[in-house]
Amino acid sequence: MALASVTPLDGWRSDESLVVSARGGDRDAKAALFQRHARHAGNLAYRLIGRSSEVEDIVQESFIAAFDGLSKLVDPRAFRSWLSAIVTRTAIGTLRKRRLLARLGFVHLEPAEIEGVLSSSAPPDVLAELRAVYRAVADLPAAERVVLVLRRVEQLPLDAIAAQTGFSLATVKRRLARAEQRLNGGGE
Amino acid sequence: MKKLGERTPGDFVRAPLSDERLHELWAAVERGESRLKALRRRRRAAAVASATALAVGLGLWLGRPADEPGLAAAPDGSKVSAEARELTLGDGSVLSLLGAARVHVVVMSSDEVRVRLAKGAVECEVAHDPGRRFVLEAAGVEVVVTGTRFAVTAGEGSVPSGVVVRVDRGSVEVRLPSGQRLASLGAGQLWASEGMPLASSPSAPVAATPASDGRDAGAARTGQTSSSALSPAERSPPDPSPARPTTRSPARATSPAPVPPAGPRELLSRASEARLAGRAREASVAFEEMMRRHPGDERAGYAAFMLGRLRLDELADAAGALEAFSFAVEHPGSGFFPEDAEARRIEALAKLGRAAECRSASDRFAAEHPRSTRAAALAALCRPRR
Repeated sequence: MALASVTPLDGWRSDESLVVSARGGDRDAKAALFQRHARHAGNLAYRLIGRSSEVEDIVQESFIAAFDGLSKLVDPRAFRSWLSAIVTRTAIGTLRKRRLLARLGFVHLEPAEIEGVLSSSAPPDVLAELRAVYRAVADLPAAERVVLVLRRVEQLPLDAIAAQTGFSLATVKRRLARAEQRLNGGGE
Repeated sequence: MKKLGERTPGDFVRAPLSDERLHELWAAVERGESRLKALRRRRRAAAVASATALAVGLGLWLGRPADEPGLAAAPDGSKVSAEARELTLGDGSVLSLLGAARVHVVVMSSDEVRVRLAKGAVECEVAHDPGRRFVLEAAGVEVVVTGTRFAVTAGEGSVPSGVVVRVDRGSVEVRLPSGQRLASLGAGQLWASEGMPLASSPSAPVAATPASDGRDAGAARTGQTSSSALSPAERSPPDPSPARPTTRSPARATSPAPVPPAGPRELLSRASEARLAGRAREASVAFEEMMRRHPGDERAGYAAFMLGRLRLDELADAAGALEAFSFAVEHPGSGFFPEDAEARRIEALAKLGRAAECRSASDRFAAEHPRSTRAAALAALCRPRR
């Protein structure tokens, strides 16, 4: 599938400046922040969820939460990583809800549908890795799934995963170990 | 951009989000924010109504008069504190009544809060809400604010028949009910109507300036206690003559001070600062200078878009807005959605009564953006009215 070209970044105003304006209710600053980071948020949500159907809901919910809580952002320069944390936690909530609905029999858990959007320029070993990860995560609990994707797909260090998910470092290590075991075929 | 070697596997998994979907998502985010605000407003209003009911019940139980001297009943369920003589309005604004002040809340709607000061002095801490105008009427003038702290005295003590306005924070405009602007006041400035002593402000003495706009006029008298705090333009003597009609476009009618040659960044920064402070004309001058002096800059389109918005929404200059939005449409760049610029251009055409062009542009808009939620509204705007 051909992807639309990326919207050019609003390079002349820093995130810090936009966040400060947005805190004062400046609609254009919020629009610029959205324009700059929406695609990043969408991609992250898609990689965590593995399905396109819920990505837009997560992006929308995350931006509403981000704008609503802008006053809590201590360092306005860190908007992107703060937004990533919000997207991650929203995605965990969505995954948990989906698993609960599946247990109650309302929905079926379906495997990730990433084949269609894997870049054709990806090296074969990367493609193989991605397929293996997304095959494994289908059955994982939400938190383990997210930790594994952040580690294997986003390639974040453990402390960054802890910051982004809100889990302690020890919890991240424990969940990652379990997920890796499943990935390597040692699961229950 | 990362080098190939620095790419993570995630860089090869991208969400299928088109620019158009992103634009629709932005509209959904805006709607979601509004709903969240409305929900909170309703909850706050319910809490205030409960508090009011409790206070009234308590007052009756204690055998106190229901109508405290100096506090008018607020029709919106405002919270009244007899001790502090404060009125907390439904929008979160707080009015502190000094002495035997009397106020009436005459309008409390989603887009306007209007309070009438019958007599006395009131200090207002206005809740910031860009979508809601706060107007205080006093002695035949209106004080219009968007988020600030100010004080007004009318019909009391040393101000028996006039009005004195003092701004502590933010900015306000003093107008006649007809809309004619009398003065623009910034933080630390004072304005008094004809014949009023400037020292008769509700509390602290502050500097004062006339409106810097050449079109400003009226029975206003202004003064200052600290000339060093004011610009040369602001230090010029006030113009006591009535409003003079002008043939110039409102957006270009004002140039408060000579503007030195400036680069794009400085102009945009100046424009943004003025716009956020509510100085629409000053902002429009800077945006226009940016657009005209640096048309090749990638930010020129953004400047034109913002200029168009100011002219259309705040300066009642539809012709100027049309020119600016047309420029923005032709100079797409970052900081705004071209679809927004085109939609606003169509609005300007409708305001100018150029029906045929309006219809043709709205048809084109609908064809180019078939999933846009604005297409129907724009078409309705261009439809001839009977």
